[in-house]
Amino acid sequence: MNIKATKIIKGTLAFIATLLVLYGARFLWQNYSVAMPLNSGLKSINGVQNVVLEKPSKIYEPIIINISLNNISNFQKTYAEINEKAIQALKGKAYKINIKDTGSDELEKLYSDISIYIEKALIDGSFPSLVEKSDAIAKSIGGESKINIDSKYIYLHITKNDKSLYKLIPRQTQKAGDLK
Amino acid sequence: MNYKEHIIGAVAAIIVFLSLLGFDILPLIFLIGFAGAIYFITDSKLLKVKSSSVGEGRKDSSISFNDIGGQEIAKNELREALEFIKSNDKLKALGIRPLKGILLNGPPGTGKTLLAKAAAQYTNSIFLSASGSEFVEMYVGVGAKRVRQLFTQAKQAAKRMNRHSAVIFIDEIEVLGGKRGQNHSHQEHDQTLNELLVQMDGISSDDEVKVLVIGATNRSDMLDSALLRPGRFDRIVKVDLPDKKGRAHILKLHTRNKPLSAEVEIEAIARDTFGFSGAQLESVANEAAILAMRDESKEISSVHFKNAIEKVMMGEKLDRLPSVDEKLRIAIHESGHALIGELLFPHSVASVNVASRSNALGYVRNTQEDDMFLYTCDYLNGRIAVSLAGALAEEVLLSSRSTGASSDFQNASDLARHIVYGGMSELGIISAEDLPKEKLHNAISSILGEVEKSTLSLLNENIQILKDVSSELLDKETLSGDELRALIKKEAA
Repeated sequence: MNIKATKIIKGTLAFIATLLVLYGARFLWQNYSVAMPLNSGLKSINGVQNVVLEKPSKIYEPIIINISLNNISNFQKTYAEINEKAIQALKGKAYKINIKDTGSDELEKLYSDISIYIEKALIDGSFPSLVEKSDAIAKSIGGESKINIDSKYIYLHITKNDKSLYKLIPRQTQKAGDLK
Repeated sequence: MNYKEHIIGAVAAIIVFLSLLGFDILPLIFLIGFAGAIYFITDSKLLKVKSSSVGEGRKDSSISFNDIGGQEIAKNELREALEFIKSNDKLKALGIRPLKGILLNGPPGTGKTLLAKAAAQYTNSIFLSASGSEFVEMYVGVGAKRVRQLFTQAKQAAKRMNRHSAVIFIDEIEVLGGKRGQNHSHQEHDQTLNELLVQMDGISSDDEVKVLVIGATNRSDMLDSALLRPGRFDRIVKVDLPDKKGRAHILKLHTRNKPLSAEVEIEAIARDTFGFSGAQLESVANEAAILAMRDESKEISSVHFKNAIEKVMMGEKLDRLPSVDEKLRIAIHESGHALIGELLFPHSVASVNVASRSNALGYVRNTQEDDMFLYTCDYLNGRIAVSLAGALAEEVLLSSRSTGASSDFQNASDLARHIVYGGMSELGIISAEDLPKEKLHNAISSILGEVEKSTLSLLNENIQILKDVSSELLDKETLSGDELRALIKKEAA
């Protein structure tokens, strides 16, 4: 084998070995430094049934945290706890929380009926009227509606029988990068 | 060790990894490119003058002493010298100064380069070869720089390849190491030689990489005495033309991968190739294979070897056609040589030819049973007779001589001079330097005259054989030694 061929083989082996090391290190870091602490932190929250992480392929993409919730009493409180754990585990890295619910077509229609009052409340601030209206609409079909409001979001939790629908409505127009 | 390719591979992998992750790698590529350019410029390529590098033949030698035939004495001497490099610990224990250089001295084509390569292989060393002429440049200081560079290259290459020793082979070292002060541009020439001497002086047994310089020359008389003193070239190994046994060995080496016919006798070919160098013997084996291919033969026969020997000795057959009269004269001339050769030295003629080759219109190829290293007066007189026999045969049969015998006369004169200088002439023992030209001329003329007389009478005694041989030769163009001997025997009976 001539020297040129040996050099090419050495260079190729170094290339492959470095790629393996880098991807291996990235896998270990994502699993042991990000996914595991985040999973255990989120699962320790009352009402969190399941957590699925979608790891981004690009560095600038956010981590998608898919969370399934049980019937919880206070959606705002649970969401705040989830947010806090995510910030702790991800240390400033971008993330996006997707709340998976067990909604049905009936609950979706109910949300559609309520949404007009939500839009109105966002414009004129008639949040007390929103709570009354949504409660009345939910009760009309035998369900229940819970609304919490803070400076950022309107937290809507509609239930009927064992079905639940969670909606998080931003109070301000979402800005680019404001993914939390 | 050289990690350049590892680094390049790793950096490429990092770039690919980062780009797949979505990083903007353009600034990184720019930085790496910039760093690479600075390394490239400072390392060698642009700041160093390209033409100043020597020792391009760097490689791992794969030739061993077993692959070299016919140089047993040189091989043994070289091997013994190389033991000093191989057993460095013993060397240190006994306080022996390391061997710095070995000079291989011998005629061209005798395998000096091969011996140097085998030496590198024997000592598991890095082998760098350069020719003396590579150090010669019109610019002052370039030769010296190249010498330094060669030694540095040898050490670096050995370190890279994890070897502890390096062999630097300088072919035609007389170009570089000629006597100082004699060259017309001697300032530069002397500087180059001085640098070589300094570098060789700098070699010590404590060096991490031990460097051995092997020089090859066929003009050791031209070398500067400083180069030949112990501590520079400690050993001078004579690499001579191979003897019969050596030739047979070389021929065996060069025919081992060639299909030989069963009737081919390597010993006979070795006998026919007296005075051939290793390179010429290689050429004989190669030419024989080419001739076999031309004949569309699957095996190389002894006829192919005979023709190959003639081709190597005399050159390719020419289609130059002499006139009928000239051809007759050539046949008579060559028959004269052959007849006297065979009469004075039985079984010495290998073949007689009137086919043109190179500068000869015809030729007689001689062979001898054993190599000869000493010549008696009778032997030399006999050889003179053979040389003169061509012209004398022309005189006997055609009553005139031709210009075709001039080289024969030159040869006869040289042989006669040997007799005079050897103290075997009527002058007795003489001092060659003090002998007046006239006396030398007279002595040579006297020898040639006597031999001419005796040869002429020998030819006249055998005039019928001469006629028969020349007519047979004219007919066949080539007569083998056996055919010639059969003709002589037939006529004698």
